[in-house]
Amino acid sequence: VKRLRAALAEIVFLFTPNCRDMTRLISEARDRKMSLPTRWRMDLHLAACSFCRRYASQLAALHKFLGAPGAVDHLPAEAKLPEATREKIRRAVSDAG
Amino acid sequence: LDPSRWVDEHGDILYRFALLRVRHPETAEDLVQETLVTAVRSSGRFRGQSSARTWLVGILKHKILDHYRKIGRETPFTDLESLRDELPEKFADGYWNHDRGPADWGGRADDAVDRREFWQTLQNCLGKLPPRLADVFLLREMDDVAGPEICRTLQISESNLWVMLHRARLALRECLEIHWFGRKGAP
Repeated sequence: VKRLRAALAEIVFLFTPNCRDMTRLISEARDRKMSLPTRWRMDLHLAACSFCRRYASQLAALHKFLGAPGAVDHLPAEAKLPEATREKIRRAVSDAG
Repeated sequence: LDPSRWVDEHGDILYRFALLRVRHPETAEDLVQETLVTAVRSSGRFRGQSSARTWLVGILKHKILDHYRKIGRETPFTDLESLRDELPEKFADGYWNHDRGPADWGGRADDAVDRREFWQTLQNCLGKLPPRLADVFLLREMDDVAGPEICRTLQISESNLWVMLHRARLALRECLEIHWFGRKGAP
């Protein structure tokens, strides 16, 4: 079964973009609509290639992490507004209010 | 809403976010101030469907976009030169090198306990990217600004944007895998 799958993958790779091109296409597909033939060839490649599937799901995971509403709450905590700036902003806010 | 408490309740969070994006403390401080002043003036529009913090972060995101718009007007935002290297060692004849393809990450970044630590690694990795690549990457991924709008705002072509985003993602994924998911370079 393993050898059969490898042979099938070889055939699929004859008709689809290689992995290097796939990383570019996977990225692009996150930002815009791809043409249908490109989409088909990508899907075919993804079906045969676990590395590219991983690549795609990791980009998705990264987006999910960064785009989550609470993501900013977990930013590393060492940077703090200097006290003088706080005071300045407090004044500006109360003047504007 | 109690604007007099905003600086103490949200100031540091807004500042860290601004600093991550513009990398310059004084600019980040100015952005926080502009954000809170704008928020006070438009507080009538706050409907309370989201938390005050989410609302303030939303305003800050607009300020950050304005900041980039100014930069884009003055200097070309496109950067296709400083990261040309698309990790050649990862591929053999265009296919993933079998020892070096993407590793299984499991679900580690989903774990709340790990989140702050993950952010630290992510921030370090972002710091290694050419600044313009990190900028467009975060506009797209954190602020969810659509490609065409990024292009209009920063005055870059769409094809250049796709290349920049691709290089940013490729390099960032690699950096995270090495420094967070624990695969130390070659096996």
